[in-house]
Order: sequence, then structure tokens, then C-alpha cells
Amino acid sequence: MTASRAAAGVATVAILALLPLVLGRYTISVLTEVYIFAVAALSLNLLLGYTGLVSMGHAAFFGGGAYVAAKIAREVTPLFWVVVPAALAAAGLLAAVIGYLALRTRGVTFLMLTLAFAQMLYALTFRWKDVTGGSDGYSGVPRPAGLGFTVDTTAFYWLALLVLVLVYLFMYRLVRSPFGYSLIGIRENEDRLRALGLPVTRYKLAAFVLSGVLAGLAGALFAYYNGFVSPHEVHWMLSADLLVMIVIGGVRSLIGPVLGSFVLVWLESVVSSYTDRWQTVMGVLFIVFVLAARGGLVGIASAVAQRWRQRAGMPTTAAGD
Amino acid sequence: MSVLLVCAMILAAACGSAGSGTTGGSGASTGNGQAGGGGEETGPTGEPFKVGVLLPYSGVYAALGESMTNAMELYFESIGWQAGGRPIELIKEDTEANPEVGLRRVRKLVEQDEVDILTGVVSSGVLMSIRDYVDEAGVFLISSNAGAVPIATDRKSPYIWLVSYTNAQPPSALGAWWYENVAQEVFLTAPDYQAGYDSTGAFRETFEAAGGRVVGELFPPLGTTDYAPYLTQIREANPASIYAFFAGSDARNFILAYEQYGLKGQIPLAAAGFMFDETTLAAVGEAAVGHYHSMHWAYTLDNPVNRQFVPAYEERFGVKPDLYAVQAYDAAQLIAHILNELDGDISDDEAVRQVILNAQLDSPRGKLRFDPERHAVRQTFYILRVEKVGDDVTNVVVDSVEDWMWPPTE
Amino acid sequence: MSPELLLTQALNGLAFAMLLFLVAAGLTLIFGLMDVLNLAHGSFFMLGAYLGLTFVRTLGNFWLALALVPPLVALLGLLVERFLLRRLYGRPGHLDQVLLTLGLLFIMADMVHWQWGAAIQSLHPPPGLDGTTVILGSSFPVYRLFVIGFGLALALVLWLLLDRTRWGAVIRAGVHDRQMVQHLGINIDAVYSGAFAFGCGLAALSGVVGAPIVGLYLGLDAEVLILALIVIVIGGLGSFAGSFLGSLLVGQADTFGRALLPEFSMFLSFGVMALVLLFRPGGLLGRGRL
Repeated sequence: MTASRAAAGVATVAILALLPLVLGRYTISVLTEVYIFAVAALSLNLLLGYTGLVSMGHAAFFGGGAYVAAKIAREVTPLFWVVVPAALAAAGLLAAVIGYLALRTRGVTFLMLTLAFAQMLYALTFRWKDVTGGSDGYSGVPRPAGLGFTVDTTAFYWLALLVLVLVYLFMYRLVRSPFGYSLIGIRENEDRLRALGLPVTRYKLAAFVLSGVLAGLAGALFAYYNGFVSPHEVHWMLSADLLVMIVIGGVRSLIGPVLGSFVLVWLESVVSSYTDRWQTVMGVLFIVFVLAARGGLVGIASAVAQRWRQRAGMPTTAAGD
Repeated sequence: MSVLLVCAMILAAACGSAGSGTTGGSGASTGNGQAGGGGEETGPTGEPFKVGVLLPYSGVYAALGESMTNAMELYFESIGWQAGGRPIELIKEDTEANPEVGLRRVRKLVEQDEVDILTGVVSSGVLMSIRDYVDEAGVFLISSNAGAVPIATDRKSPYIWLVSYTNAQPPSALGAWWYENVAQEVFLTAPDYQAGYDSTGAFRETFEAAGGRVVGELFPPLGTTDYAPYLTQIREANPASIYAFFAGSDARNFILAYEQYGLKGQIPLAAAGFMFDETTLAAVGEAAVGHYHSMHWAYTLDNPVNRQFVPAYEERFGVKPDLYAVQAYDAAQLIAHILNELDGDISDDEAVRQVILNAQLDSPRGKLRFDPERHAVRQTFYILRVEKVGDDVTNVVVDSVEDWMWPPTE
Repeated sequence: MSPELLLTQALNGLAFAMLLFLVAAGLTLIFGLMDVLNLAHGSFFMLGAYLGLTFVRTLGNFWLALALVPPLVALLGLLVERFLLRRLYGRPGHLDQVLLTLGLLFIMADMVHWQWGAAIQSLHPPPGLDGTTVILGSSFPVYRLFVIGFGLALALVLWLLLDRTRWGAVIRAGVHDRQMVQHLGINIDAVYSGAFAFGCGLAALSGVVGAPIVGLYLGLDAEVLILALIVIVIGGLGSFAGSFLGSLLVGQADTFGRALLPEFSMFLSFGVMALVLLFRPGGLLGRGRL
């Protein structure tokens, strides 16, 4: 990371951290949700953008983590340091099992399998009323405890922001590590890497589990934040939403999913105030991006920056973070 | 470059808060000039009284959201959009009958719009998801439909009051009557989700207490389009009667299949309310004739308030009112009543509660009063049968059960 | 289970299977030929159903609606392919096409909501087919028998088209080896457009025919899509015969599953698909394509 980039990053985080002092409570709670979904979108992008795996079942890990976190927080202890690791473990286990089975296939079949498993989990969540509360959902989840401070709206905002920053930094290091480069290689040409002796499936599984764990982290935060979890969190439509975030934000970057989360939540909360047709707006926007702006918002910003630099006679750099 | 992006984000955030600062969901509606004009006095506060309306305006239940809003507007119009010396303003938000969305919207209503009171909520799922938040925030919620039983029992809140019903009321009211008047055996069926279990469970309680016997039960998945396999199964068991609880598209599919598979006219069918409401009857027509159900209101109910409400609603909106509209109408009535009793000042929570507990509402359903234990209304349940009256298929009152509450309080 | 019950359930399953088949056939054809997983396929079904409702209401005739709606929806499919999908053919991988159809799903769902509202609607079977008949001592709706007959007849027609006509040959060849077809000088673009339009039209046809059975409501698109996906995966992606077989299996499994184990029926359908995928990733009749 260049010094200027690092500085810009720090400045960005600082600005975001100071927002509760200027913006109203409602906006802060919306932004908190943006951060939580950004973590989930980032986790899916590890699979999609970096490993080239199209999974439609990510909601299983998000929702799975959320339910485990919710149940433990309400029935055992709301201690953050117990609840979150438990949720991560559960999500990781789920990802290991599903990944092991699904990664025996590729392409569309893989997509279908991930969808199938996620929907099975959805069906289970729906039916198992005694444990999950069924279609009415599971409520009464307390605020996180054991953090040394009471977690009110502003504190939760900072917590979510902190988690997002940590996950972002983690991913940043990861995609630049040998492991990360291998994943990119798998995305580009899986067969060649296999021929070179790389245990491709094992790497894919590792990526799958890792991304599942991170999604579970987002899920745990979600459960704490809303105090409530429902089968919607495990439904494939949520996986679809994450896909939309990634594509609109920019699939070959890390900041993309974050931006995408922002756009989607903004669409849902703000645009819906102006028109009932906000889903059409989202669909059209999505299609426009798929057709014309495949790099997402990040791609557009990059292209604009490139042109600006060219015009200014400055050396152009490669796009992306 | 990331700085650029961050600036964009912040700008959007600022725009966001400004944008949703105006009105949310499907827009606010205030008195159209009637609020200020003509009113002789504005009370000591005179500040607009903001009612946060949480209803589904999209999705499967959108029709309910619409009829309920209609009814509230009808009532507020009739009192000049003011009560207790304050003009009344409705701020509507779309829950999409989705618990998360509902939670997000209630946050907006409370934190951004700073509403004085909340009403609405169609689905039990949304009610359950916002319960903790509303209770913590200390804002009163007058539910005009959702009646999840926990909200009347172990998850009660001093701020949440059900002017609609508890999910257990309609079926339980029918149970004993059914045993005494139609059949001593029953087969239970409902969708495989909480409300389905609640409904059949409540019916079973009073039915069995009266001496009846449940001979079987079957719970098709929610959203089943094809009831053929289930009905043939039930037909095979040949029960003396059937109790069913389905709503929305499920109700329609079930009723039509019931006729198609030869059960209509052979095996008496009982249901709790919503399965034979005006909307479903419009969709299924004569296939529903001869079936029984219990509901706390009927279109043909003959009391002074209903005689006035129905034509007024029809003239204003061009369609028949449904049960949900009636409940919303009553919620609006209660809100106005609270304002009037307290001269527009609802800052004292205990005072508000007292007003609610002492209230005797004149509803199109009859008289209503709140049960202090359940935070829900005690009301009359009418035993209805679907009949063809002229060219119209409608509900006809056959009997009634007065002052009913379930789960019962001792 | 008594023989009467068994027969009734089997017939129910068959009727449902026919509806699924009409949808799945188009979906598998589009995938086999163009490698496009059309996530909006259920949306075309739903659109067909709702348009059918409107046509029946305005024209007063079910058969007219049945004749007019599919070509109309096929035209829409044609436009979608020509102006949207086609731009993505050059792109590596198939993700973009899938994403595009996902966007379409969102838009079409919202458009249906806007035009027809959110209340559930129903379409009555046409007069003459709206009664019940007696089979082995149990009542059975005539309309479902019609659906069975219609579905089987259409399956036969489609099979003949695929097997005996030149167009059918081109399609089959295209599914098998796209590039070869191009090298033979056939305008592959036209074939794609035609196939996509046809698939969508077929889905719409199923929508009109199926509407009196399943009803019209928001969310129908996603439900039908999921079922159709299960069918084509089990049957084999790109296999016409597979889609028929898959429909029969899923139709019966779904019906009997619901009758015998209602709590697990959802779980069951996906479980079966997962099993098939794990042991025969190409589907039962697939060509081993992954």
C-alpha cells in the first residue's frame, strides 16, 4: 500500500468515525446496517471476485451465524466474546460441510448445489419452530455485553465500523498473499494450476470456509443489532442481494462490495420514500452495470481517474486498490 | 481515489437523511386544509400529532395496507383531522410484511420522524420483531391487526395494545359452538407455520374442553399452490368435520380445491375468520357457500355504527370494506379518544394506559373494551356462514359469542 | 394408502408435472443451447399467467387468451435476447448472463406488481372444463385432466419438432456443439433469438394453462423458477428428455411428499436435487456436462 493510499484510508475511516457527531441517530443506524452488509458482501466477494466461484447460498452462513449468535446471546450469555466465536465456529462448520460437498462440482452445477443447500437450511429454519421460532422469527436478542462499555446506537456504529475496517484490512493482506494469488490464479485458469500440481480443491475449500466464517461474523453482528433474526436471513434472495451489491460496487476490488452495500441499503431506505418502484430502479441499475459498467462503481471511478491523470499528463497507474 | 469515493458516500448519506426527513414510505397525509381551517380553538400545544403507520404497502398483503389506510383516513376525515386540540398527521412506512424491513421502518419513524404514537402492523412476524424496540423506546403501539399470542401473554409490553384480536380468539370462540351445533369430531389443517399451529391449537382447546375429539391433523407448507394431495388425504380419513385456517392465496387455493375434490357439501368446514373475508369471497365465489367461520365482524352486521361505516367506506373508496379496515378504523378511533381525553398531551404514560383501559369503543363490530391482563380487546365473535344472498356471496350471522377473550384470564 | 387415493395422487402429480415440464423444457433448451441460466424464466411464467388473466377478462374467452399470450411473451423474450443478452455473449464465463436475468427478475416482478396489484387473483377454468368427473369412485377436477392431456400432447409435438424437423436438428446440433453449427454457415444469432423467444413463450403458455390451478400472486415467479431449476438439474441440463423425466419425478415426488410428509416436502425436493448433483452431476440424462 502506498503511503498516500494509506493516508487516504486513515482519513476515510476517521471521517466515518466522526459522523455520529454530525448525523442524526436514524442515519447512523442505517449506516450501521450498511457496514454489517458490507462485511457480508466482502466475504462473498472473496469467492466471487477473487476465486471465481459463483455461490448462491451465502445466506446460509450469514443466517446461520445470525441464528447461532441470537440463540446463545439470549439463552446462554450475551457476552460478546462467547457469542461471536460460537457464531464463527458454526458458520465455519456449515461452510466446511457444504463446501466439501458442493466443490466436487463446478460452474452452474456448483451454483445450483449452493442454492440447494441454502434453501434446505431455509426450509429447516422455517419448520423447526421450537428452536428457531419458525416464520415468526427469533426475537429478544440482548445487546452485546462484556465489551467494557454499554452498546447504544452510537457505540454499535463504531463497533460495526471497527469490524468492517478489520475485515477489510484482513482481506487486503489476504488477497496479496501467496494464498490470495493462488485464488486469483484459480479464477483465471483453474486447470492450468491443477496441472501445475496445486491442490486446487483444497484451496477453494479454504476460501469457501473463510468466506463463510466472515459471513457468519456479519450475521452475528446483525443478530445483535436488530435483536431479531428471521428465516429471511437464510433465504436465497439475501444471497441475490449480496450479489447485486458486489456487482454494482465492483467485483474485482475490496472497496466495491462496501460501496455496493451502501448503494443497496440507500436504495431500500431512501429511494423507496420517493417511489414504490424502487425495485425496478434497482433492477435497471443492476442491468446497466452488468452491461456497461462491469467493473462496478469502482471501475467507473478508476476509469475517470485514469482519464483525469492522462489529461493532467501524470503517469497512469493500474486500476483498483 | 478512495477519498473521492468516501466523499460520495458522505454526500449520499447527507442526502439520505435529508431525503427521508420529509416523509417516508408512501408519503404522509394530513388533513387537506381541514386541520387548521374551521377549527375554533387550537389547544395549548396545537402541534401536529404524528401517527406512525406501519403497514405493508407492497408484497402479498399490500391490499390490506391499502384498506387499513383508507379506513383510518375515513375516520380522521370525519373528525376534521384533529383531536385534543392538535392536528393529526399520518406518516406511513411500508413494512413489506418483512420483519427486518419493519424494524428498519419503525426505527425511522421513531428516531427520524419522531412520531408520537405508532399503529398498524399486519403480520405477527413484524410485531414480534419490533416488540423489543418499541418497548425500549417507550412509544405506544396500537396494533390494528397483528395479534401474536405472546404479545398478550409472556411478551406483553405496557406500550403495546391490540385493538384487533389475539390470534387465539377467533378459533377458540368457534370451538365449543362447533361441538354443540355441528359435529363431535374434527380434522385439523392449517399451513405449517406458527399462526397455523396457534389457530388449530386454540380451536382444539375449546373444542376438546366441550367434549369433542380431534381425529387427525395435516399441515401443508405455507404457500402451497396445489392442495390436491392434502385434500385427497383428508378425504380418505373421512372425518365428520374439518377445521381449517388459511389466509391469502392459500385460502383461495384451498377453498377451490375443497370443492373440486368433492368435499364441499359432504364434510362441513369450519374456519377462523380471514379465510372467508370479503377479498377471498370475491376470488372464490360460490365455492365457499355453506362453509362456517367465526369473525369479530361481518359485512352484514346490523348495528348503528356498522350501518353508517359500510356505506361511508364504499362511497368514499368504491369497494367493500374488510375486517382489516374495521380494525384500523377502531385504532384511529382509539387514538383520537386518547387525544381527546388527555387534551392532546400524551407525555404521561400511565395516564395514557388508564384512558385505554377505561375506553369503551363503539366499533362497527359492536362494543369493545380492553382486557387489562391481555392488553387486547374483549369483543363479540360472530358465527358466520357463507351464503348466496341474491347475486352476492356474503357472510350471514348465525350466532354469536359475547365478550370473548382467549387465552382466558382468571 | 387405498388404490383410489393412490390414483388420485398420481394424477395430481402428473398434472403438476406437465406444468413443470412446459417451464423446464424452455429453461433447459435455453441453457443447453446458449449456456444461459435464465433466472427470469419463472417471471415469464408469471407474466403469461397475469396476461392470460387480463386477456380472459377483456376478451371473455380462455382459448383466445391461450392463443395470443404466448406469442406476445415470446416477442418480449425476443427483444430481451436481441437487445440485452446478446451483448454479453462475448464475455468469458456465464456469470454476466445469469446476473442480467437476475436483474430482469427484479424488474419483471415489480412490473407485475405495478400493473396488477398485490392482491391474489384467480382465473377460472373455461366453461366446459370447470366441472368434476368421477374416477374410480373419487371426484377429480376435469381441468386437471385437460392439463395432463395438453401437456402430453405438447410434449409429443415438441419432441417431433426436435427430432423430425430441420430446426430441431439445428437446435440439437447447437446444444451439442455450438461452433460446429456456426461453421456450417447457419446464422447462430437467429437460432439463439428464436430459441430464447420460444422458451419464454413456452413458459408463458404454461402460465396461462397453469393459472387456474396455482393462482396468481406475487412470488409465483420465484417459486416456479426454483422448481424448474430442480427439474432441469435432476433431468440433465440441456436435455429435453431429461426435462420430461425430471418433471415427472419432481411432480410426483412433490405431490406424494406433501401428502405423506408435509413438513419435509420443501426439504425433500432440494435434498433429491442435491443427491443427484453429487452422484450424477450431469443429471440423470445429462451428457456429463458440468
